[in-house]
Amino acid sequence: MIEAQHALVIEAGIDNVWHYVQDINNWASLFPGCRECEIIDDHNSLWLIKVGAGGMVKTVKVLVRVDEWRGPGCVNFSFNLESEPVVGSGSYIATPRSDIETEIGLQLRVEGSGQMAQMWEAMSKPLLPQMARTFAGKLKDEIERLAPAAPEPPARTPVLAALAGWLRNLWWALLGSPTEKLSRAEGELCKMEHNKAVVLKFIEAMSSSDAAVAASCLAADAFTVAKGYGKFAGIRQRETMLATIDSFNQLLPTGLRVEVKSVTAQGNTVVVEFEGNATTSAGKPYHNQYCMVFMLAGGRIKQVNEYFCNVHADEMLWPLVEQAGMNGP
Amino acid sequence: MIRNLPAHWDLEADVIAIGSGGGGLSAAITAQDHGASALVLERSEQVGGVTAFSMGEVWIPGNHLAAAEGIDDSIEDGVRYISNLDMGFGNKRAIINQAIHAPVALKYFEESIGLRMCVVRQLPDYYYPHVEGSTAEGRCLEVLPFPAATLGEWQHKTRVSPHVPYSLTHEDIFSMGGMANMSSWDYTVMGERLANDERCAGPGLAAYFVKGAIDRGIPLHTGVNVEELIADGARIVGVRATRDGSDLFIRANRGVVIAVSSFERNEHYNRTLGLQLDPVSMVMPAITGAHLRLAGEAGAQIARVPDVSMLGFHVPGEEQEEGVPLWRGALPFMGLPHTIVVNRRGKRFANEAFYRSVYFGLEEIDAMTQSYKNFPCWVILDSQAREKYPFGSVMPGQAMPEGVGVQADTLEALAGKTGIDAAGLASTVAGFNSYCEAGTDPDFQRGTYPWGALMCGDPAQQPNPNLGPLRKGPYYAIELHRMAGGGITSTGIVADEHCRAVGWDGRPIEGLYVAGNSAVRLDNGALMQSGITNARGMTHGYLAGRHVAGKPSELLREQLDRLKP
Repeated sequence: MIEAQHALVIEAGIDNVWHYVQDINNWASLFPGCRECEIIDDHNSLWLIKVGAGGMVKTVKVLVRVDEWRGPGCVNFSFNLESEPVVGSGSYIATPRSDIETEIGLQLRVEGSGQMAQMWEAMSKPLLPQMARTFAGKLKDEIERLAPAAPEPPARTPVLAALAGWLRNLWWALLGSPTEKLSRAEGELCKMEHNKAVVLKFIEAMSSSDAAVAASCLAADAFTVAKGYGKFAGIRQRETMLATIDSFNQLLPTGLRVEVKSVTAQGNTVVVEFEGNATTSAGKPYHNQYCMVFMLAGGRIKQVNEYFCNVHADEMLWPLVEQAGMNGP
Repeated sequence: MIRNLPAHWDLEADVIAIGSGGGGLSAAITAQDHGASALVLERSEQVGGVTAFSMGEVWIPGNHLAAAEGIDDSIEDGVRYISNLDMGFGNKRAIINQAIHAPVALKYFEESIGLRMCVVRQLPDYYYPHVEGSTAEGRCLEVLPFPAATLGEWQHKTRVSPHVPYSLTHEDIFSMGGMANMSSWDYTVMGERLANDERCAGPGLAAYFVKGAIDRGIPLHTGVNVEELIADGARIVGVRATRDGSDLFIRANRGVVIAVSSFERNEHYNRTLGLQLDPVSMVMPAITGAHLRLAGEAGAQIARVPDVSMLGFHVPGEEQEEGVPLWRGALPFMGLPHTIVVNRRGKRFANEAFYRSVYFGLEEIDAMTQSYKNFPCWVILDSQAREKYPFGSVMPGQAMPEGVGVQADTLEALAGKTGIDAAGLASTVAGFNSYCEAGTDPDFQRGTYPWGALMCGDPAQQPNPNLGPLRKGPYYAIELHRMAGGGITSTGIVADEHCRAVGWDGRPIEGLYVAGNSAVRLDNGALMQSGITNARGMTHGYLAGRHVAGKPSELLREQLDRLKP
């Protein structure tokens, strides 16, 4: 399976964004290369898309099904290509940042099937991030173009009003727009705190090579993406993640000895900045800095994007991994 | 000589290269490295030309990379191979000129632009081992993967190919069982190379030269169409081009190199110069024979060597980036097991695993009726082929898309749907199937050319990689279209050993050069050999670049002196 996501902030309130997003015709009109969209019913539509890749442009018919219209914050959809053995799914998540700002996240997943599944996925690899980025960008441009202009700020802002404004912005940044009902804000806050706790538990389990505890934090289809171009870069599915955590203490008998620097949560995402200060099984120091982006669903980790110094990991850990015949952390 | 000087010049360089494929770029790079400033004019919006559409093979007998691998070969053997196959239509001096300069040009670009190539191991010459001078491997080279991100703003303006899996090298493909076995490939490397935009094959080759040009600060002007050459009555001194509808007069202090491939997107030239009736084309729409129009005005001589049409097919819904239908060559698919090519009488007429055989067969004329004996023709395959092998972009096991030929449960019904003679087809298939059991094809010797076994067969198929019976329905018939040569053509401009265009008086036209497919193939005559075209482009560019910069190669003179009795 290949996955890509793109997030950005639209300068429009979530209701304005939803007003636009709730019409599938609008999706089709902005989707890169989409030429026609035939609405079948409330959930199904048939799109004719010209996909440009590898020096050619191919016209494909795609059946798009919106599995869930859950406005204004979420749309889940799936799709399959008519002539190619390729299916996919995705989600659109919108979170208010203020009355006039909405953060949207777009996730796309593609899966090949049949004997050429691997090839279809390899070909989708460069294409998918580009599609997610282009589509999200066009959505932003179009909604901002259509959204009513923000009211002019008053000529002078009294000190108290400015202070109140600052507090309000802080509040919005933490909890979302006050147009949301308070109970919803509280619910979100509660969810984010829970997510943070799950993520920290997972990091601690990773540090101490406790696969059983780590497993309790992961969704059934969880995977991790180690970014960059080092030897550890790549996607690892849940089983590999757990097997790696299980064997982690062979590489680092001291444990990773994690020191968390910051934890930030928003919506279903938790970002943790941390350091590891371990000694490898070869007796050498392994001090790396990490930033990991955790995406959760239903209170469990679904995806991790890992950023760390590839050079240091390649130098200190890779020879040990090779020696042990492992897949790498 | 024409005299059409403009009132003013808009741009100026010592050398103008028209066309941004291997020929134009190598000329510009060589000229600039020899002290002349250069610029490149490209009429389309992307650079790389037909070179970027190719397999990226570069065929050079006696090259140093093969020697380093311990492969026994020589320039002399290369000359012998070509001379044995040119059917007398080659020019000995031109053959030797190409043969001695190609290895030099290769080394030159390795050192100057960082071109990195390697021998495609196990890939023989077309006619190995049947012709003296042929080799089992060593002459065909390919580039190591090129990191296209290093092209910066040119990354997405440098062409890639819709025809080749350019994220893989020949070595990668052979090691995974060849094109025929793509259903069992490991696609990890392909996925990584695509994600990182590392280019192999033709797109990789073109990218190395684009990088060489931009590293030197050679301006690459896209969207500029050269309308005419400008001369001062004695020599070519510039061009008039158009960009966005406005004239652009560009002065060339030393000369103009035309390297714009062939004319196969020009229906009229195809018929009158290519002797091909309404061929489809796999190259980009810009290949319309600009060299003939431009150099013709300056009195350049044209010549022709024997050549053949290719065959192609189209999968509905597939287009080139410029929006024209994408036609794919049938070459790699015709010689696979469980596959034959027949004429309207249902008869095979060639060795389908050796495309030269099929394409020469295509030209056969029935003098009694003044009609082509073997055209129209169809490729016929059965379900075993569909389950195991790709057919163009139609993957193994994938249903044949609507509009790609017809299918039927029996051969008889298939004949009915196509108009092929049913009795002829039945008897051909029965005979062919019996050949498959024996593993030999007494009619057309399929499988006897190692090149065809490797590139057009299934190496896993025993006892003959090119033979497998057609006996499992449903059966498929795809009518093949006459297709031009993918930039390689019979007719071009005559050039001397420095790639100066030659006039009808036999004398060089001062200030005018041609390179690559724009120059007639007198250096190989009736022979075609995969990789020779890219080798010609970069060798011609090297020779033209040196001469136009005032530092011509003396190698031919030295070689001819040495060879004197």
